[in-house]
Amino acid sequence: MKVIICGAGRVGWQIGRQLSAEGNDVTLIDIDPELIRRATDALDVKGVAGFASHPDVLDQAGARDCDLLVAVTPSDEVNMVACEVAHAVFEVPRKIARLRSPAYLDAIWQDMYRTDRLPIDHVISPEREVARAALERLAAPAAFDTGSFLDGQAQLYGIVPEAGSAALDTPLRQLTELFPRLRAVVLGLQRQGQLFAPEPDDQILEGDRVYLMAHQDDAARTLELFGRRLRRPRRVILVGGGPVAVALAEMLEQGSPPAQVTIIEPDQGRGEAAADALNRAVVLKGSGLSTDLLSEAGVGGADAVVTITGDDRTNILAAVRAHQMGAPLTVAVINDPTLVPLVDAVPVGAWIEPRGVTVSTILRHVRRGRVRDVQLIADGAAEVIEAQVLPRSGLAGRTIGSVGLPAGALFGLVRRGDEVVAARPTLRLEPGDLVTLLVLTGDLGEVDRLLQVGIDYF
Amino acid sequence: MAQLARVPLFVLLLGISAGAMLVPALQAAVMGQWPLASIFLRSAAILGLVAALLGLATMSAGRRRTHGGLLTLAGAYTLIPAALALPLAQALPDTGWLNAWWEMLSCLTTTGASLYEPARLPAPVHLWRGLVGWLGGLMVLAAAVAIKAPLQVGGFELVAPPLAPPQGRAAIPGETRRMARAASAILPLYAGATAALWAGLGAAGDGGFPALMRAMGTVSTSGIYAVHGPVGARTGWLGEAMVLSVLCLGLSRRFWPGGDALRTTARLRDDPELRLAFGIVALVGLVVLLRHGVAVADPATPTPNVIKNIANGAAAVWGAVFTALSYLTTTGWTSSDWRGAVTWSGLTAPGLLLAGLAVVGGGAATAAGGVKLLRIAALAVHSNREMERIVHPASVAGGGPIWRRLRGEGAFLAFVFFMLFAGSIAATVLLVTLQRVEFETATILAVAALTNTGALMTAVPLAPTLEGGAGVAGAPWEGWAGLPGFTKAVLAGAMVVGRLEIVAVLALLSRGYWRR
Repeated sequence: MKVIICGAGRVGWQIGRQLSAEGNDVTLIDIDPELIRRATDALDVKGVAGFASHPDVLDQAGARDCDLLVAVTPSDEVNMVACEVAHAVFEVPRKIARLRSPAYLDAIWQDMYRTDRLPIDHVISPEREVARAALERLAAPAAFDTGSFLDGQAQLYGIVPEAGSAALDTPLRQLTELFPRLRAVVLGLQRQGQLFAPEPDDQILEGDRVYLMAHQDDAARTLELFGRRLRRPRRVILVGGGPVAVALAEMLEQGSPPAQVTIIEPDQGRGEAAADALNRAVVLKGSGLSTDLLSEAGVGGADAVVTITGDDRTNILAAVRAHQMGAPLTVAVINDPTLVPLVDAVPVGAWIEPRGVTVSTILRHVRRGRVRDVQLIADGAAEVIEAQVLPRSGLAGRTIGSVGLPAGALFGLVRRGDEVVAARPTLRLEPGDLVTLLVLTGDLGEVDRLLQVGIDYF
Repeated sequence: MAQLARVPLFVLLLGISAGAMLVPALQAAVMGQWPLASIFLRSAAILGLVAALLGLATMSAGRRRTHGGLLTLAGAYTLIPAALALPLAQALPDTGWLNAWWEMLSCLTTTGASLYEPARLPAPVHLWRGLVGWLGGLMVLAAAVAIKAPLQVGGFELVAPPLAPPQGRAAIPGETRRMARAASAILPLYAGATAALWAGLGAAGDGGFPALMRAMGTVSTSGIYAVHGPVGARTGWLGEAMVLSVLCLGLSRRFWPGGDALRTTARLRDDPELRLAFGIVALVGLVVLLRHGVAVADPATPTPNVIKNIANGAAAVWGAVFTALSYLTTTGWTSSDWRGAVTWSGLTAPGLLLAGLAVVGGGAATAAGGVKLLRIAALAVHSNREMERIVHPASVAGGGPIWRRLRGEGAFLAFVFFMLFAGSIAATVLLVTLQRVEFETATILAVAALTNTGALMTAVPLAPTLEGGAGVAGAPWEGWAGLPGFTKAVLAGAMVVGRLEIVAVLALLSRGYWRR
């Protein structure tokens, strides 16, 4: 597949790396020639320096025979125009654009993103995606990573089991025998920084980070085995009142039960904008690092504190302070990936990396078709994939045990019709089933071939 | 139209007055009252001639220095009634110019206070009073947008900060043009609502002429009517319900074209004025209900007929709700169930309650008078916000720039207005009591004049003053006619102040206004 990526910022860079690693023909466009040179040196991509929405630049990047355009420049308008030009001049079949401004994202205007109007197939809003990720994280306070598959029926949790919990030091096979009706699968274990897909005889040790997938109805019971609880937050404090905070507060207010949200924002204008956009949330003006303000916000009685200012250091420190003042769950948004290891050294409950979230979302849309959903986990070490079993593919008609998955891949839950079951070795896959898999990045190619339809299908 | 826009507003209003006189002239002619018809026709001819001459003389005066129209408006409210009084003074020869002028001023400011006993006035004179009130209502609705809005008075100061005066030659179009544009935008709805209510009341059995008077008095909130008595005397509950629905137009400017700056919320049900009005009216209904339970009903002796008691209660609540809304919009109609409501609930001083409602007043920039709901709402949201600040001292309030202004600066301005209004009541009472008028009477007179609710006098039993008179048709026991000339003049001034709103009058008196 030939892909053009407009904008070689952090998001564009990472998408380029991911897609080129999967064997796609990727071209990056950026206004900065220096950046393009570094990209072509470091990644297996082509590069064009120029203004992404100009037809001649797109032409030079090979838009004529391109299959997909991903517009992730910092400007919404450039992204929109790039998609328009790609559609009108080069007839690029699929266009994905990142749009930040909430005005372009309002649900009542969604009708404008149509082929005959604004030809954008998928509009990605990083703010909303980050807010959604934060919401998932809040819903499972004990998890350090979460995800949602099979239309929300399967939930992915990354948790650290509590010391002395029932699931520790027991072979996984035995766990399955002990709880045969629990629709849950341990997909991955991360031990001393190394992620692997466990064998049935492997045991979960204390200090492991466990990635598990459970049916939505069984999630609470499954997490209990690991000594963790599922609890929806009722009182949430957001430090920072930008667009992400507003989007998150809206989601929390619309949840059931609706959460009471308090926003702390130092800037008067942004605070007013947040207060205008929200009905019930209380907006406080001041620094999120101030103990006075945190106690005014009622940090002691809050279920969770999310720090989402534009400054990573403020986010980390505010989360630490909130933790000290008694907040049971703290989530920090960290833009700079190099700061992530620092977070493990301080008492911050969980972190969200907005660019990783954006990349995951965009990749999810890039690999449309047989792969329906993708989430990067463990800092890109593996992907959790939701895919459809196509007739005559390597999966159809075989049992889970006989498929011959590579060692770095493991099946999670499987949906047939409306029924969701755990992938036991005796389960026979049929065309039309939806499967979920964890795949280490190194084994992606092999799994992709399994998912593909054989040549004789055509 | 383009030519008409070049004459001064004052002259245009004179011309309209002359034209309006033809309507009662026609009615008198149809009724066969030829002397009355000729009086109206003659007045129309004289006034029309004067207006035409003045118009021709002033049309070519070129660019005049304008003070934003506030002065014209004040002049119109005090001087135009003298012209309007032309036929009245001839039709009632013994009443005198002062009384005729006063009566017309009371009509034009939509106060609706009358010096006369309705039964002694011929129908065309009633029609004339009603028509002047109706035109007065249209004038105030148009002036709110055309004159008050650009000057940031009349409620507009609550929602937006004043604009810097336009620099250079980019002058706003003349006040005549603006008034004409605003009035022609409002007229379809204004006339349509009047016609619909006229037709509705006529169909409900009120008779053609009384229904027209009622409809004009309702839409303009003047409360001018041809016979005393409650609204539902002949039409019953149905007629009252129709009047009630039209009265609601006086609760918020959002029902009228223009004045979009006052639209504080996107949704109707969030509108602070409507919510406040609904709350107040519901409160009055509740007070009547609870008052009955506390003061009248004796639990020791169970009432023989529960159904009848419930029906009485429902009628009392309806009467209270209708009358409350009518006084809130400073119209001053009473429901036919109002007497029953008063006795049923055992309220001893219902007039005071109604005076309070009239002081609150209707929606900002509508035909209603009083302090205006928007100002009270601004004070309410401000106090709400202060409560919030007790819990969260650092909190930032939302709702958008309009609401922020309403809570802060707007509430401050509303408070200033409220204080000035209270001060003007005190000043009016003081001036009225210079003569031999009882204090209670003086207070109600002052409130009635300043809130443009003439009917308030009939709602309060007062000792009549018999220092002056208004001729054989006068009705001194109604409170107004027996007042001495000076007091009448003071009250007429209070009506104009109430109509223009006190802040606008103060603006007129400030030196800065004249320097602009």
